[in-house]
Amino acid sequence: MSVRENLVGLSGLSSRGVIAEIRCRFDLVKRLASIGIISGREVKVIGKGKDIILIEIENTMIVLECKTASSILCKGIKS
Amino acid sequence: MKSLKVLLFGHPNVGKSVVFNELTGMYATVSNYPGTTVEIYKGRLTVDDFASTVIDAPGTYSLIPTNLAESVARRVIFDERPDIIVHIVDATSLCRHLYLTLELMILGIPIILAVNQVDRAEKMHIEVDKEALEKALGVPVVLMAAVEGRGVKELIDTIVKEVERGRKPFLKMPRDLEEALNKIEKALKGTLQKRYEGFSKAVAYYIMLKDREFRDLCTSLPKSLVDGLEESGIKMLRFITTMAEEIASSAVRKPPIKAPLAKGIDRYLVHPVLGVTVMSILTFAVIWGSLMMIHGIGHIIPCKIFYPFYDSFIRGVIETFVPGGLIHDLLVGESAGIFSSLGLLTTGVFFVFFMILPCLIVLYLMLGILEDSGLLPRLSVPYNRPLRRIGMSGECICPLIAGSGCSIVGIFLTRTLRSDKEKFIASIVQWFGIPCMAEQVMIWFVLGGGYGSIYVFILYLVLLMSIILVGFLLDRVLGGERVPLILELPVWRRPKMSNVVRKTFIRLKHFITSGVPLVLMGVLMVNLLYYTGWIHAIAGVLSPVISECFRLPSDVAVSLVVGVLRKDIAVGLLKAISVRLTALQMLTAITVLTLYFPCIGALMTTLSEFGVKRTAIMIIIMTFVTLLFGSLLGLASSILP
Repeated sequence: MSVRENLVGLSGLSSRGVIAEIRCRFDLVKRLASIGIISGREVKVIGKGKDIILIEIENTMIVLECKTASSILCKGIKS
Repeated sequence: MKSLKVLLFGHPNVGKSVVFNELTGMYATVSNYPGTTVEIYKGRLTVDDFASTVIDAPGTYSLIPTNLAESVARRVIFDERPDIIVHIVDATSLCRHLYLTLELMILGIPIILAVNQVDRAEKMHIEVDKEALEKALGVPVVLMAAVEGRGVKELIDTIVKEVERGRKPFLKMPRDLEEALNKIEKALKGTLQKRYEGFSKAVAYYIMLKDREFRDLCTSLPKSLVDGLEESGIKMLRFITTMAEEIASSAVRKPPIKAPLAKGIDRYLVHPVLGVTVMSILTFAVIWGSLMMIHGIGHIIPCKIFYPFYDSFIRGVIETFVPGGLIHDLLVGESAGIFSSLGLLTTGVFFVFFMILPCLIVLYLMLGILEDSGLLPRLSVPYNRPLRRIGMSGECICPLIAGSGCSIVGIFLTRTLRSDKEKFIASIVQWFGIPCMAEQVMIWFVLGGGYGSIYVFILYLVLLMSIILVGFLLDRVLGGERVPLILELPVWRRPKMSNVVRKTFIRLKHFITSGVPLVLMGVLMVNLLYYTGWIHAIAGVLSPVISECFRLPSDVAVSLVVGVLRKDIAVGLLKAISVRLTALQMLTAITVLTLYFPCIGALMTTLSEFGVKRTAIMIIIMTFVTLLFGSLLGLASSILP
């Protein structure tokens, strides 16, 4: 398993990755942090819709809108 | 005996209500938190020398609230001042929950960490090291599987032990953050309300994280401090998340290979076509199933119990003691029959115990099963896209579905929404576009039974169009910031029937104490309106609009007046004049009746939730919608045969 260096928005992630950076306003950062979306955490994309994305973080499924997901930058994991 | 307050706290869907049930048994009360419509459950637990009140706070992810329910969860802490907080967390995702644990530690109230769902964690080969967790946090930890009753006794023993010990948690922060908090605390001295006494450090933390509810207090801070708030806030956030991560990694052992998660079905939820189709069929099946059950019950109960036994018995008793006059008419009405009697002991009892209560039992059982199985929150996912186009988000689907049972319950549930705009739109569309279950039963009886199901489907289509039109326009007029959808999906579970029944029982108890007086008052007022003849005077004022705009006979106005009090009774009253109405006229009358005004219960709930001004705006919007759709249907009824 190796971590790719280039950053990609969560909505552009194909399967697994590690959250590297969250670029959005403070209010949203707080909300994401409280639900468990923080830098350094491993994330897995379960499914993608037109404007919605389903991810798994620490055995928990979370639904995000693609707009929010694109502000969460990840490093892809190649297994 | 010493009294004790125990507060149960935690994320939504973490099993708080199961723990609450295990601790308190069947004897619990539910009440709305003062000034809000958020439900708070309270129960009793007596152990050793302690008579404890156990309070179940609404689920929250953080002490920085993003909706009314989360705000109430925090207010419960300040207002109730619990002796101990039991923070219930999920063993399978401990790290995510420790963020809230650390926030709770800042309050300085003794805490017990109840690590629930260890049964699921064991199946996923996740091990939680209790001792390591206790050492890292400095608070007692109890491992539990509340659904199996595991760890409940240990939790009760730990509560007693910790209260006697009085150990307060301590969160050691980096020096710069501690100093920044101290500075804010110092600047706040003398400005805090009495309810925050003893919580100044926690308030300083909320200000540092730019909590909207404490924005006003920033004026008492020096400018240099205010300018640096966001920077310290980010540092604080980083500290808490890093610490939660470190504690979790020292206390939780996970298998190298990730345990499989039941996500097969969930993958298709986000599919733009499949998700909406499957969930729409499911929603329709649930609502249709409830409706059919209620329809069946509504038919069987009056035929088997009400008419042959109750009605004749109560009428006989009252006529023996009060043969005539106002009291007689108020109690059993002037003439027999559910819709013509309007007596408190005949029509009133029929509506409460033979119609609404059976409806609510079915509705609450269905809601309980949907909630506990994890299906209800999942409905938000496929509906997000279509609802966004009319000013709402996927999260609005839960209140809307509940509103199809009872608007009062639906409007209550809008408290979980994060934006005022969504709350407003989700409430107003329930007022006019979603008839309650009792009204729907009457609609099927009067319109479906009398004229054919096709007219009921046309009615639903008209209501859907009105929802789309109003939602679309309000979305553009109200503007405002769009709150992003961030939603945790609970795991799929087989609902525990004892839990569902208990929830239903508590909710029904609440309805009997707070809703029944409203319904009886409504019946009494309709009766008085008839008795005094005022109903015809009011109907006379409305009749020009009824006949000119809606092309209906003027006596439909009587139903409209009654509809303010009870819409189902009003639809029932239309049955009496159905011989004089064509199918399209009946459709117009029922559409107008559904659209034009909420029932008294929904009106009172909205008033308490939105205030007079916004409720008045809703009434104006409803009037326009009614005039528009009523006139169009009226026109159609006059042109078409």
